[in-house]
Amino acid sequence: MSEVPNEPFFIGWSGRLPAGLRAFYVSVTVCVVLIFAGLGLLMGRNIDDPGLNLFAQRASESIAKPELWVSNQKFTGSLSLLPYPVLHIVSGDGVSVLRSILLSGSGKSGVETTEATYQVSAVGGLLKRGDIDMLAVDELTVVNTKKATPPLPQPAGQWQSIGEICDGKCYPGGMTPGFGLAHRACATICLIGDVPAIFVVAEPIEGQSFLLLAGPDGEPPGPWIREMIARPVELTGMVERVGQMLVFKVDPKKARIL
Amino acid sequence: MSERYVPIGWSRTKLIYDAVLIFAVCAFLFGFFSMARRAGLATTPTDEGSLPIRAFGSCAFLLLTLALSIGPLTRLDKRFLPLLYNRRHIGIVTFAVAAAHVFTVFDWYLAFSPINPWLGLFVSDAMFQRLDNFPFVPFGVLAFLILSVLAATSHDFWLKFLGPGLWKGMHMSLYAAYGLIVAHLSFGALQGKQNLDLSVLVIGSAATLLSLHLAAALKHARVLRHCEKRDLEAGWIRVALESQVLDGRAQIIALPGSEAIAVFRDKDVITAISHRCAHQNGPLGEGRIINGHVVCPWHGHEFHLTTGCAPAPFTDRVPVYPVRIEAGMIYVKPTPVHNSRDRAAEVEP
Ligand code: FES
Repeated sequence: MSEVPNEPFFIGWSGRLPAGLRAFYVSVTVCVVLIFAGLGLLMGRNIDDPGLNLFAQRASESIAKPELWVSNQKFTGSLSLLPYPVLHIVSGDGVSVLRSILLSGSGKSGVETTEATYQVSAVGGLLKRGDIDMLAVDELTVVNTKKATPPLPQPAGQWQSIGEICDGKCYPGGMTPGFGLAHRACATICLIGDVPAIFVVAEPIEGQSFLLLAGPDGEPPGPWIREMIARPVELTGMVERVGQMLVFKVDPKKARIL
Repeated sequence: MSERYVPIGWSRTKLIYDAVLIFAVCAFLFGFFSMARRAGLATTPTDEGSLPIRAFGSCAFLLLTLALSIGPLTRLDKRFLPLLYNRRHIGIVTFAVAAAHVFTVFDWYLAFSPINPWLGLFVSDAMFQRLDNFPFVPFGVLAFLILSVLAATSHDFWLKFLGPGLWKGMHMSLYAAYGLIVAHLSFGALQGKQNLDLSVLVIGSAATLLSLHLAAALKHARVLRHCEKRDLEAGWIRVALESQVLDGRAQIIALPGSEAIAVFRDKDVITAISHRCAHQNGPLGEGRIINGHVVCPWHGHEFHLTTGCAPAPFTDRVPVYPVRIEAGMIYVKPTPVHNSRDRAAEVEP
């Protein structure tokens, strides 16, 4: 019978490592820790930068960086509700709309509105980017004494345009404008939560770099926008001006991902 | 090895094992955060909310690769066997790190929203018809579910309750979890722009794991002798010459199906016992003999060489087989002396 090899044998419950394996395990420990530390350094070295958004690459004057977020701003005006609530600030003589501000609630949700019969006053944080004004509303109160009629929509023609569907809160600076999957997922959650959907256009329409997005009848866009969010798309439909806000009534059948 | 179930029977080796594991995890996280912050100074800094998501995610992947490498490593080099004893601790730590990944996602991407975060995981990227935006989250959720179930059932109580076959089968789904995580990364983080390092980690880890398993399977196939027709003589299997079995070691012969027999020599006595341990199907034939008992190399359970019984108060039992020696040749009958794997089911003489 040949010689029996004398290999160390570890019995788990004994809680003792055979002496012959001690040196081996010192090197295993060093290797494992070094591999983990090294891979940690490697993984941290080059993580994606979500600030590289599609539009930053063709950054122009009309597509600006988020400029402003001032809390505790108060505005009074009339409300239009469709496709999303917009507060219109009217001139003293009541003839022209000076400013149309998009409204949202706190976090990733839309604002709870009242009927559009009376003037309302809204307090919240104002976000501004290029020609978007967005008020993240903390408090919306009806000014009972003053009746108000929202501005009437003025047709601005049929348009076909290339751009990106974003949420109207993150885009003007609610969060860092992003790129890719995380940006898309975040925008989707915002839009499901009724934050206004906007269409940021590559070439300005009627002098504006963004439009409020609507379905063909001016209603909030349906689930068809889901797969189009935060990717280059071409949309076709009628554009209307409501106060200072452009509304894009998109024909879903003609919408396409580029 | 206790019949009273205690949460963990701590021993010095277990404490050192866990300390090294946690130290390695901390080393990874420290390396990740310090490097990411430094890199962020040169470019646009990645938002603080995304960093821990990425750090915990990649760390969990690495831990799972480590956990799944131990099995084949022990087959390739027996010195790795002590790593196997507490392997489930790696599973638990992996689950904890994966949970940190999930909850940092909830805390960042799915925070401030009226949508339930678990629902949010599924609605935020639904687009099954395009590969470049195939939903990557469901893969991760499924993998996390598997990790949770396995972590919850990792204790010996569940092993006993479910039986070694079912328990082991369930815990093999860790491989499915690994596949799901590779899919989660491929359709998720790897779609980003600058992730060459992550690609190297994913492809490198998966390739290492695959080659380790292939090498181990090849070696195992060479070591394990399969019972062939010509080895059979009137219902007995011809195993080996008596002189070929070293003292304290076994010759292993695989029967058709999943059973295998380990033929041991203890000094001058030759016995045949199941190669499959009653605990977790560990390779008993690669164990050692102590006081007439074979000690399993995986977790140290013991079985008497001639009765197959674990020493009292344990009630486990593995099959033993009749042995006959003729002209120096060992023959084994492939029908066990008793059929039950559980001694408690039988009346002891
Ligand atoms: S498999 Fe655990 S002791 Fe044998």
